[in-house]
Amino acid sequence: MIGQDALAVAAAVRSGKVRAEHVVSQALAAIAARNPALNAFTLVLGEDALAAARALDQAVAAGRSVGPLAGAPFAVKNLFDIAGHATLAGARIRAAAAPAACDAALIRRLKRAGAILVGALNMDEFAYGFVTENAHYGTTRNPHDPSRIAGGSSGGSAAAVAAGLVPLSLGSDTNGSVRVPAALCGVYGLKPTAGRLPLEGMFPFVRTLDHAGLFARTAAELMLAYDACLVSDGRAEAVSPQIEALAARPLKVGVLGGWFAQGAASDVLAALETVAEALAARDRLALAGAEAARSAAFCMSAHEGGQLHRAELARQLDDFDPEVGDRLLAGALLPQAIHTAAGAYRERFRNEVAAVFDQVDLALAPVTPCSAPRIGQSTMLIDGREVSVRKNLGAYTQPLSFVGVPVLAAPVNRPGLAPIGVQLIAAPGREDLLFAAALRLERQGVVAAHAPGARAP
Amino acid sequence: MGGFAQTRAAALGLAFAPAHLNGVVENLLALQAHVRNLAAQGPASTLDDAS
Repeated sequence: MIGQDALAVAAAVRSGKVRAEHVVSQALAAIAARNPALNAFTLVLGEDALAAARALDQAVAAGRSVGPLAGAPFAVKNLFDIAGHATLAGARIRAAAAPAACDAALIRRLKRAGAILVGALNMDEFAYGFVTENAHYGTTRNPHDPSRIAGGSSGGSAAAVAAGLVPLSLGSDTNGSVRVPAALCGVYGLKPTAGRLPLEGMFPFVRTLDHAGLFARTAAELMLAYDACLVSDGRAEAVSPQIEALAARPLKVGVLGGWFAQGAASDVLAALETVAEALAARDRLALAGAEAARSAAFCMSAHEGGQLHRAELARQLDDFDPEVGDRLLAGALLPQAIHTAAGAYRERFRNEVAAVFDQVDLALAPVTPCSAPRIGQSTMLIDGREVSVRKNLGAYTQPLSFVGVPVLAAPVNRPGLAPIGVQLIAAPGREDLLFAAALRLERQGVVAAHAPGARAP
Repeated sequence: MGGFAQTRAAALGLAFAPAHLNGVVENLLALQAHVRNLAAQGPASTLDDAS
């Protein structure tokens, strides 16, 4: 059952063919067996999850409505509040924090849809990095090749889904932290429009740029989970009711050039071209300010992140992950004027991005410059220059989250090869177009998530 | 850059042990490149403004 998707689980549980308790027991057994090698989970909620599953089974037996995700196990990046547990945010200095009084808003929404929370997942300390090589809680390994990183900072969230331990997970994306690990682990990742999903109960990194996001192994599961996370407040419409009509409609698609076409490995460019051909995307779209936008996001993150942790940096720098503490401290030294300049540039770049979506419905770009680097690999080559892996895997994701446009990272169908993802990008509020394109590509066999160990046909 | 880092950190109450100097400087150098990119787009501060 765990190998099946959340939709199949929910249908079986709702119909009474399968008990949620059985589904959750299987998930917990899979986590117990495989997490020691993977290191995706930092907390497993065995008894709580089983109790929730039993309550759901009782509701089904009583004929009560149990929601579209009934019995589907899910897990969350450990920066989401879980009632009764300290919110680690990947940091040892958070281990003694007071337990959260209640679940984060998105956990509450997924539970209301019938999903069962089974645990919390590893991440880069304070979400500052793209590698999930955490000095305190260990490295999360890539399920497709355990000698390689899962990406980050939501590495545990991507790895747990890619390994089939849970069908759904939550992460956060400030500069690419959903999209990068989704791409490197070969699953779908959604970073919705800025502000569309609530951040309540999530430990912040850069409030100006933070987004909540989701992971799944199919576009349909991702869409259903996204709809479950939306609240009916009249501002955000559920995507799934109109998606089939939209998926049949021609979309005008272009490929981002300039910054997004520089430095990527040949297999990344080939994967992007495959997706572009499938969507008949022939035009190259100019986005001249992307490199500066990336720099502005880099500076804004450093400054805000540094300011957020200033007191701890002054008091207990040695208790930080060494790779993160020194980076945050450097950020704390930046003058406020640089943050102000980055904010001003954001408005200019937002206008430039808006002009792109006057031309097309959807834009495409690579997610990462390369497939997953090896664990411990500190540098990689981009355009012949040796650059930091930790700081540069998000080179193509940072300009986009900087202005809050919705992006869906889709896994290009490459069975037996290292996973590579493509960013599907739309105008603010147009998540429906992302899902329409992802469903179409999935049905064409152009994008697909594969179980680890899948071989080329 | 090392001098800048130590002086600025002390002024902000963030003085750090020598073991962190290389790490902080390495990160400041990465930031400096991005600050220059940003400054090239129009009026912007530089790291030197903070010293």
